[in-house]
Amino acid sequence: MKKKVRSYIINIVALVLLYSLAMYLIGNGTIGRYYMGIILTAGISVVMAVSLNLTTGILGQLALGHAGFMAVGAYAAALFTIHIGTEPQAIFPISLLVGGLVAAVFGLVIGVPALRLKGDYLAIITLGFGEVIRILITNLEFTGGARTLRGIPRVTTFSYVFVMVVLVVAVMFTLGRSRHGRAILSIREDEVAAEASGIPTTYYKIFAFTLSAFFAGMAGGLFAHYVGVLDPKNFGFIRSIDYLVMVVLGGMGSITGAVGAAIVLTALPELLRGFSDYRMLVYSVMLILMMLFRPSGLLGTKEFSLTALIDWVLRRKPEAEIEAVEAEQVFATRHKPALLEARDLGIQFGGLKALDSFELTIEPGEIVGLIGPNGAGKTTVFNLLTNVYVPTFGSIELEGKSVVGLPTHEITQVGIARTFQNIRLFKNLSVLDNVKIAYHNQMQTTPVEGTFRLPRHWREERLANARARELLHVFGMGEMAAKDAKNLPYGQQRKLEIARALATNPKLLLLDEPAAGMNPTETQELMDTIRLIRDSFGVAILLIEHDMRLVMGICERLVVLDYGQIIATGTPDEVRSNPKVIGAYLGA
Amino acid sequence: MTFVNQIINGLHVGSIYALIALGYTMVYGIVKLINFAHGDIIMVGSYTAMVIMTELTGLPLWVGLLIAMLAAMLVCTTFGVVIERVAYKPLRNTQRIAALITAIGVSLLLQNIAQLIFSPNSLPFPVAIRVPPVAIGEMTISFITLLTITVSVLLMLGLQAFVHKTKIGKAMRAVSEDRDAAQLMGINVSTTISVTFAIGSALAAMGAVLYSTAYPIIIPTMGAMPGLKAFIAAVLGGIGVLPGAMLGGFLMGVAESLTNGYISSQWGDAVVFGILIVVLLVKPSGILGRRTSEKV
Amino acid sequence: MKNRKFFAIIIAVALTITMLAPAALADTIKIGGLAPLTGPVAQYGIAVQEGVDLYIELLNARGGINGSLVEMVWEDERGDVTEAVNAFNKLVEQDKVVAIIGSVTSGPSLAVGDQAVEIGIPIITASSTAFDVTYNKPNYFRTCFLDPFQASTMANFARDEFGAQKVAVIYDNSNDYSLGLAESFRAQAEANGQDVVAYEAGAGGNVDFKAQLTNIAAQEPEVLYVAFYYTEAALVVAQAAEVGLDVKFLGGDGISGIENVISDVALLENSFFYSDHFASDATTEAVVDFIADFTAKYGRAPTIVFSATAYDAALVLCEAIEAAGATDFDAVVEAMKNTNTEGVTGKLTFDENNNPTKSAFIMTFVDGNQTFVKQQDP
Repeated sequence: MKKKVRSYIINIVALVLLYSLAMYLIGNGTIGRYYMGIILTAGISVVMAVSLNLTTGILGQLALGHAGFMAVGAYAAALFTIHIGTEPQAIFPISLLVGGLVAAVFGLVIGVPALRLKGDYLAIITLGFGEVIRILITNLEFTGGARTLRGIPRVTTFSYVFVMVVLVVAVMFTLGRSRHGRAILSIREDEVAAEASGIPTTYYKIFAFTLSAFFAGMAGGLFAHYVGVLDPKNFGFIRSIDYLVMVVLGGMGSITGAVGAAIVLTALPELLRGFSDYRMLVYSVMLILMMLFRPSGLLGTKEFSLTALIDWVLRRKPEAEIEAVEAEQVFATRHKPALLEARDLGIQFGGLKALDSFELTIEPGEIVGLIGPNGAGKTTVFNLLTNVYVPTFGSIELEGKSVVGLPTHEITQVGIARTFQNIRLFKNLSVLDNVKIAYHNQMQTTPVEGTFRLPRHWREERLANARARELLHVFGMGEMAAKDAKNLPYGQQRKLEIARALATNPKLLLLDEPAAGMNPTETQELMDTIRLIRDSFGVAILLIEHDMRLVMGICERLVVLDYGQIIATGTPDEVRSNPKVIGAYLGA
Repeated sequence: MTFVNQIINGLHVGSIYALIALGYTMVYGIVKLINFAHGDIIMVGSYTAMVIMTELTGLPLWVGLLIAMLAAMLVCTTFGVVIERVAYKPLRNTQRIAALITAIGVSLLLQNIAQLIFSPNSLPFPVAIRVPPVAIGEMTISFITLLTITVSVLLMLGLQAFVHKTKIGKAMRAVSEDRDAAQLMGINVSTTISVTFAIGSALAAMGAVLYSTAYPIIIPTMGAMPGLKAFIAAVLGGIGVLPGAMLGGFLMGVAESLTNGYISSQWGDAVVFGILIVVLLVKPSGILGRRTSEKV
Repeated sequence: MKNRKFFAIIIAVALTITMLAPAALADTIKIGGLAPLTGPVAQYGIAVQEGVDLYIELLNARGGINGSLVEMVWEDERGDVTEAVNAFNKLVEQDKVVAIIGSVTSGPSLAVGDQAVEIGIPIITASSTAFDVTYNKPNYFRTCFLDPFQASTMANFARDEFGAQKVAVIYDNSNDYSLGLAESFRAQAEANGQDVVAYEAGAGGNVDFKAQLTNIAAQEPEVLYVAFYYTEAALVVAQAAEVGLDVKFLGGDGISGIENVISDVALLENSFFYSDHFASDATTEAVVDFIADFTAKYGRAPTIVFSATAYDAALVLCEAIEAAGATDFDAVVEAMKNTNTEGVTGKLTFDENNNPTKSAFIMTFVDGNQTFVKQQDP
């Protein structure tokens, strides 16, 4: 808390100083119209780059139509100012807001269908939308079309741009470090795991995309009222690429990186004016070289921190973030008797029945093993239970309520959590954040509360930190909270995935080959952990495992699958002596 | 008759889109890179052919055109391979977007070099083919149109055979399926990728000559538009799938032509992008694309 | 941190470059040139640059303006409004130019127009035909004529020369020059009682107009007004032949130069008629000298007509400075308003909106050369 307050003070003082200095230099004429023009353009680029960074860097979705949103915002804001007619100075903030909102509506309309696609396909569809927007503007009457929209009052001033830049960057930081920001980040890291951790990924993708469009629209408004003339040709594909280059060059996901790159790349062509004919040649060569030698961008995913810089200059050790852990019983509540019942469950892929007539009942607190040879359909059961696949027939009920057809994140919310056969952690996030993401649904902070850091944000963050640390401690990983998940040893990664699943507060935990790749010591530890989970958290466990020592050692009941059919059920001893099981494993 | 004419117009543009789209699709299939510089390779091909044809004034234009095409293929192939080696290969194992930005840089670089050498002015492309239109019944089809469509279809069939029948073609398919596994099977991945770029660029060179013969004006930024359209054609048909590129190209050309002819010539491009959006939403992997789902 | 250091270095470099820039010599008059010298519309920008540079070179060879040499400072704006504003600001503030020639396309010209009015600097464009560029801008002039005049001239020409009753138009809906020409032509044709049987658009950057031309051919017009620049127009002419469209082609000043880019000049012979700023085959001294001087300097004849209007823009500006005997903005603007001189493109005077009142020359091609047909006075 103290550290945060100090950091706030440092940044606010720095901003006030920067603003005063700029105003002084403008006042005495050092910054004339030429430098002012570059500063304003750079500021608008910063807003564009930072907003695109939300979609591309933080959400991890490549978008090639960002200039389209800028265009929508620019035209909306400009037309609003022109049609209101009077007092352009006074209504300018409203115009900007109008620009942002109209762009956000476009973002929503485009995002809902487009965000179902991933990777390059999303990139291409956004490119398509960007071009359609440009063609629309060119051909519509009220936008002025190719004749350009003229006579826009030129009311964009340094103060507006400065405030806007500060506002957008601040929102990115505060919102980005709330539960909503973590949810967005988790989608970039691993969408399937995010969904399994209870994050409504579709909602957050659209949320981030729309917010990004909103800021692009505001930037468009600033731009329109800066140049005073809007030409649809200036919002083409190339413009979108310009902003994308800023994001990538700054370091995908790094907000300060985007700020830096936007400033450098806006200033660069101006600085290169001396090279006249060779200007764009030099620019393109520099672009290629920068990418070749620094493919992850200037800052990578890191952020520039003024506080950290001051600490470094003063050789002051950063204060460890010690937060009072409220003496609150973590996971105090025991669940009501949980009961999973799957009846006649099956799924068909084409002509192949991957699973047929599957029956399973799990009593509260029970540890059940699901075994069978490779390809028997074990993971398919997990995928059906968490609705990664939709069952062709049959029913699944948790505590008497059907969960068939619920989105995966809702299944997680009602109490079924899972891990994955091939570990799916949020690799570039800290161990602590991995766990905190899973608390998402147990927190209520709204985006507004998160952005403005209202009391509930702090209260819930403290609680989530405390709980996450406590949980990590239980797993013997308390020391590793600050490390990136990708840097953990394999066994620890498996444990972290289990801890993350547990943090969603499940009634039933599905573990997919938790001991895969572990050495005997690690497996032994794991067995203790699984028992501990059941005993202290009262969670029922269904696990898939090939390690028979583990299965026989901790499972109370086993279900054996072969070719999508149950061939045996019973206690470990019963199953061990069942001839069908022996046959299936030995291939007889 | 107008309708049939519009379809033929569409097939003509479409076959050029298709030829360029093949290059996009091959490169995407093997290195998953949207090669934004591909359009500029067309520009390089056109300028090369133009220079050669202007120099070789003594020969009959037919011969000149053939030599020009071979020269363009040679130059474009060299460009393609060198660009891959210098600009893309070092980034093969980093995030894909870095290579994408590099491709954009290469595209800008090629345009600006061309502008320095040839000035930004448009230049005429010498006409090599002066054959009267071919009459089929009541209709007349220009010879260039027939030639372009025929050559693209033949090239497409040849390429399909190459990829499926030859050893290097099989290696290309293997690398595009799984680069690591292909390497373990003893396939030289770097060579295979180079060959892919070489073939893609050679096709672009042919596309360039056919394109410039049909639209005989060249300018340093000429590659951008056909590049973008061809790329969309590739996505439409299913990126990474050769017959898809062909289908996408023809479809785009015909759609464009029919929109310009019957709906409104202002909205031709909007319709093209609209079709792209609809197709992607209905079948994200494109018309002939394979649906790949992530294994959980 | 690296980022900061990098940034600091860049700022330092920028400041050094600025400070090292040589101070203006007292006996040199600096004029700013604003044009797209790279990017998609660079060819028009460079044509303007060549025309202006030619005039300035000849002027300096003659001893400049009252003994002061004129120095041109060119800035590239790539056809982008933001860059145009930046370049304009640089010229005004860093280079302290006394007047500006530019810009070339309408968007950038309009964007710098507002700024120019604020400070009152004399500015003259050689190629922006949009009405608003000079309207209500007391210090903004142009040497090219406006769209309505040349388009309606051609509509009348179609009626008088060919008795054309059925006319068609093809234009670029993403280009305001083209839109302006097309609309003015249509309006005049309708006023003349001619039937506009087809009005087809082709988006900028496209090269295939066969679909539109097939439609036009189906309507069997007698003339086709090609509201394009010469590059697209050359493609239109070639493709019209392919789809079997047999008409007389008409066009505006952007057509000049088509004979250099069309692959088959024969297609133009006595079939393409366009309005131009001067008759390049005229035997008047101004035109003959211009073409000779241009060819001497650049090794080829001017390809784009804007070279001529740009030459005249430089002429108007320099003569105004000479007449004003000073370089202060108001005096030069006043002198420009009173311009009455003979340029390459004819007699130049300005109306109340700073537009030139000058004749249009209808040209065609004979044996691949531009050939004068008719003069149309305003």
